[in-house]
Amino acid sequence: MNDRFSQDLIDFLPNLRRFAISLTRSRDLADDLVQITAEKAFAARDRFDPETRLDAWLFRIMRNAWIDMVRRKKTQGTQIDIDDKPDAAIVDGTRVVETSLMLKSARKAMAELPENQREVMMLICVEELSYKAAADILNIPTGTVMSRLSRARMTISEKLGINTPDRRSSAYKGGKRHE
Amino acid sequence: MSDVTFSDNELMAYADGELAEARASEIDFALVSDTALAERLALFVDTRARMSDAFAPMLDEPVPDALMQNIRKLAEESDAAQNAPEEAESTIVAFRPRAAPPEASRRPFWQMAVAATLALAIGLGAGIRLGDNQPTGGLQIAALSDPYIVSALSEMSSGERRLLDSGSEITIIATFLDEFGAVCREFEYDKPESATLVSVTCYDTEWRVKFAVAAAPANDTAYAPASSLATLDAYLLAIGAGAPLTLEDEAQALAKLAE
Repeated sequence: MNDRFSQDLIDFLPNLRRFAISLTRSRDLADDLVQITAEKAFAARDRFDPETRLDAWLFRIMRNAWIDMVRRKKTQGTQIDIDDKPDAAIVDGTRVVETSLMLKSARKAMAELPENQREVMMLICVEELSYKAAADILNIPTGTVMSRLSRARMTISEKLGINTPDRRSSAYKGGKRHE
Repeated sequence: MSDVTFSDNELMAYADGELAEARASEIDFALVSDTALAERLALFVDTRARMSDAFAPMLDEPVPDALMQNIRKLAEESDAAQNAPEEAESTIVAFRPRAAPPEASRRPFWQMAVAATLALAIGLGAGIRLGDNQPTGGLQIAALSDPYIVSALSEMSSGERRLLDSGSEITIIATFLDEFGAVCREFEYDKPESATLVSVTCYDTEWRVKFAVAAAPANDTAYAPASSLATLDAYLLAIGAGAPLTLEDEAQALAKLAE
């Protein structure tokens, strides 16, 4: 039973790691958080309903684990900005990743958001989850998801100068539909 | 110009693909002629696109080898346990929820959990001495006989640390509700020259210890390694523990207990 569970979880590690980096704002802490999340997920795999989405389930475990980690370790004071370190891929030398200034400023704007806005932005705009899925993960009403998301976007657009007239014509291809 | 007005929330939902189809079609139609509307929409579309682009390269980063190895190992162990459930009974898997017979199954379950964790605590050799000069050292905690602990549990917020008159230190980690709605608190208890205990207590007319495990050796000032808390995690899952309460909700829940 659950034959695909392990493989699905391993396939999803890059996404888990990405969400962990945005929560912790530190690659070292992020790897700890991914490990803890995986431990919890395997311990609870019998409770996972294969009819539901594994990604949302894993994000929820990770997010709760992060809250726990912060309280346990008083980690928040030691966070570093995610761009204090060069991309792991570049250090690695195995791959050249173009980290343009645009990407950097966008990541910085994300990192500077309050945590409760950052997590909704990551789940919805980066991980492409639905409002409902994000609300379930964060254990808050959908309306709260939307108000945080909206505030986050106002801040980001100000920081990145997105809503200037020059940028308004950027190609619009229509919103994706979820579920 | 369109004669229909759309709220910012609707535009955001449209950009995120969340708006109901009928309403989304109205926006599709209005956008053709309404440049002001398109401008308002751009903010939501562009912020999404910029963030999506900025974080896309992270998916190409290789997962660090050490992490990948650890997780593959976890996967293998877990897969093996799935295929051989009987063998797993004596391990942590025993905490998994099982199809419980109706009624009366709860109490034996707690007893089993506490007994198993005490065994684990001793097995860790982490400094709880049940014999020798401190015959009841660990068990006093399980009984919550220290009045200072009781008041700490009822008064302190999560994240707070307090030095008790006994020389021990207590740190409240989190507050949550179990599947029956009982208020439970996870805390760490540090006794000088002894192990750090991680414990869960739940309130029903008084605080009762539901779980206790030694999480770190006595002479180690470092925090408990996450892996040693796997038992706790399994336990929390087994009792259907909800997400940690916010500090506000926690204060409310504690105030209710005091009534």
